[in-house]
Amino acid sequence: MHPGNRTTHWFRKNISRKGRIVDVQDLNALTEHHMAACKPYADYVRSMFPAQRPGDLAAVPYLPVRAFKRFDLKSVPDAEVYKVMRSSGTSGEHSRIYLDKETAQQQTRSLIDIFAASFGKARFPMLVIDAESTVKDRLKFSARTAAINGFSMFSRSRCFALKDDMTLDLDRVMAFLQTHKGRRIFVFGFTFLIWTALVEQLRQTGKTLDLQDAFILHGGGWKKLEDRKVSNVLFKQALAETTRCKSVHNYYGMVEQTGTIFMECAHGRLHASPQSDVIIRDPQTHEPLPHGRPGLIQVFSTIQKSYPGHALLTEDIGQTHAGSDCPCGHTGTIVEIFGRLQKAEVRGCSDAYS
Amino acid sequence: MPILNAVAFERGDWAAQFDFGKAWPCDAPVLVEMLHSVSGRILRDKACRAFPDLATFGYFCRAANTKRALEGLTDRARRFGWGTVVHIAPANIPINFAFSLVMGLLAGNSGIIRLPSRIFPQTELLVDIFDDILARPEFQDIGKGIAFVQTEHDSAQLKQAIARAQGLIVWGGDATIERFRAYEKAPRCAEVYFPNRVSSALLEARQYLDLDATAQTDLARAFYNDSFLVDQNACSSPGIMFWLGDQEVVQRAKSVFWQQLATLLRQEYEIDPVAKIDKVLDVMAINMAAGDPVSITRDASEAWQVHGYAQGDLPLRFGLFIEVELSSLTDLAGYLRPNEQTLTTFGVAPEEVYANLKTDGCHVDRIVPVGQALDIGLLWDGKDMLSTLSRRVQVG
Repeated sequence: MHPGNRTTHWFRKNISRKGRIVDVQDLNALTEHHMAACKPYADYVRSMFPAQRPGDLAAVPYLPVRAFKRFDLKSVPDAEVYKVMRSSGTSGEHSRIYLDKETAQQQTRSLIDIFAASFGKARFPMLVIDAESTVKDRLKFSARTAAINGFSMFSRSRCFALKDDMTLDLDRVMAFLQTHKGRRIFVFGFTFLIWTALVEQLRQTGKTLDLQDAFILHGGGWKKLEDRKVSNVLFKQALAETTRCKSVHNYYGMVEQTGTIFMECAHGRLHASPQSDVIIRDPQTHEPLPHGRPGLIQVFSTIQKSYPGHALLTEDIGQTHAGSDCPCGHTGTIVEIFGRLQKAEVRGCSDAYS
Repeated sequence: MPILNAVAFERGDWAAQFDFGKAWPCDAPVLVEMLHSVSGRILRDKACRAFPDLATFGYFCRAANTKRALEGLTDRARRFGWGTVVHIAPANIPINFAFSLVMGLLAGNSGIIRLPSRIFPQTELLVDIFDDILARPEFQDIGKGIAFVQTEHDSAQLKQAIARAQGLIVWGGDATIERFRAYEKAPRCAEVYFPNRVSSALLEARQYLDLDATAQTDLARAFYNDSFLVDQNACSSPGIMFWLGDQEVVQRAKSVFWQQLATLLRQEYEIDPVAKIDKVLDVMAINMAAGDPVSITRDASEAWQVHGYAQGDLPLRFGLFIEVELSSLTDLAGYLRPNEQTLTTFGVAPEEVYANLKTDGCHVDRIVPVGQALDIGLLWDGKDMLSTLSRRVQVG
């Protein structure tokens, strides 16, 4: 029995309740749980937040998400580690996220709930805008692999739209659509791949697809598309034009908080799920900022129990809005993503050879 | 000639214009005169005025200063440069390449200066000035022995130049140094490496409290220049703060000092948001090294003070200082780290500190007043560059 078991009771209870706004007490209990079970985390909290008293969301000690790249942080004994998730890293650094069975299950359940709330409980023929080698090659395991595998639980049959060289296999896609004619198709892919491999390649060949009864779910970030000046509006227009699909949903999520993704509603807004929330902090002072003020995005998730990932300060820039402002009916806090922090030129003597 | 870009350098035709192996006697007046002309141009140039580091370099190159330095070189009339020195300049300190070049020149060496991939405005201004001055008839010979170049990371031409060169100076992180140590060199090549170092400051509490308010503000400024001006990320920026004095006096001195610094920081220092996150993560790294949570004072400024742990190789940057209280100067030596470079002092004369450390082997290379941490000179990292970069001819 490891020290974290005292929080298991409330944890299970919490998960069984649905559709509620995240309770700061659950997050505080998780802070205590991780402090009891993960010494580096406990020491960090004691150093950084020595006088912190439980309060609102902003009072929950935050951990920079990059901590999982620099340190091994887990709140379960090694014997209970069920799988290790790795993020794709731009500079060769990878996050290492340690999951036990319970946390992995909670992540799955949360994802099912969020998916069902947007697209219903059915399973769909799934068209993956990626190559099969992305998920087959164990050595290439990445956030893309994890996302494809994760969302595949909503599929009943699966077709990979791309060849290994990331070009569109139009014949295979047409055959798949023919097979499942009349059924609602679930199209999934990373944002930049949907753009480069689907939209751009369809445009180049002058062909179109008929996905008007399908829905497209995409994530992974806009960075590569921002460089090409492609906004969400432009992205949707291009998909409507090349695939006739009008149901296009972005999501915001990260491997460090799998399960509690932010789903884009019918009004184009990314809402926190029932077990998550979001606030903004000033990028320099880390002071919390109110709705409508841009800054660093901090995400909360009440389901991350096997590693201290319940309150993470990201390096994404964005702003929040009250969930109740949206006519879509989802009440979760809205987050608007502007992009990623740019690393400035660091002064000093290190890293001298460039 | 203007900066050779990586493509032009790799083509190799520059070599026909370059007087490889050229050396001058250390008492050749023409080198001092050339640098004095460069100094004059920098100090008169309007565009240069925006850059305090250029002004510092300008003053450094004045004949009065360089002559004084050369007078300290034993038997300079019988010394010569080794030949051509290849300089690997650091990426993050704009003017360092020029100091490196001058170290080589004053000792009588020609030079190939490898500039970092990112060219700062100061770099361009300075290279233009050098080009102008070196085009004068009286300095043209020197000009044939100076090349500013950019190269690819694994440039074959650079490796060849290093293999031929009579000298090599590498400013770098330890990884960079490892890389250049492995390159082939001539058997007599004079190699100088500047690896990663750490530094500290020593303040005498009573003396500090006795300062009037203006002098306290000035000291805060001097300390700011040593540390925050370069994100506390230079090898000579202090990471450990030693406070000397009786406990009660030290407490009061600390409180005033950090308040003074906080005022300045709020007016002038902006931390880069990515650096701020690194700093938060550095706290976790320090805790892990310590094995227990360290206590940190964060008084609403970016100068965070860490208490209770001062061992090992800790990341102290972007405003993270470890505070150590000393009741006696004799306790200082025990806290100096194996790669300690600079100790900046206030309230105790550097001579006194040196006398104290001498019996314990003096594991620092520089003891200078607070405010001079970044003042690079011909003595650096314990190396006397003029004698290291020249050969002494025995006559008779």
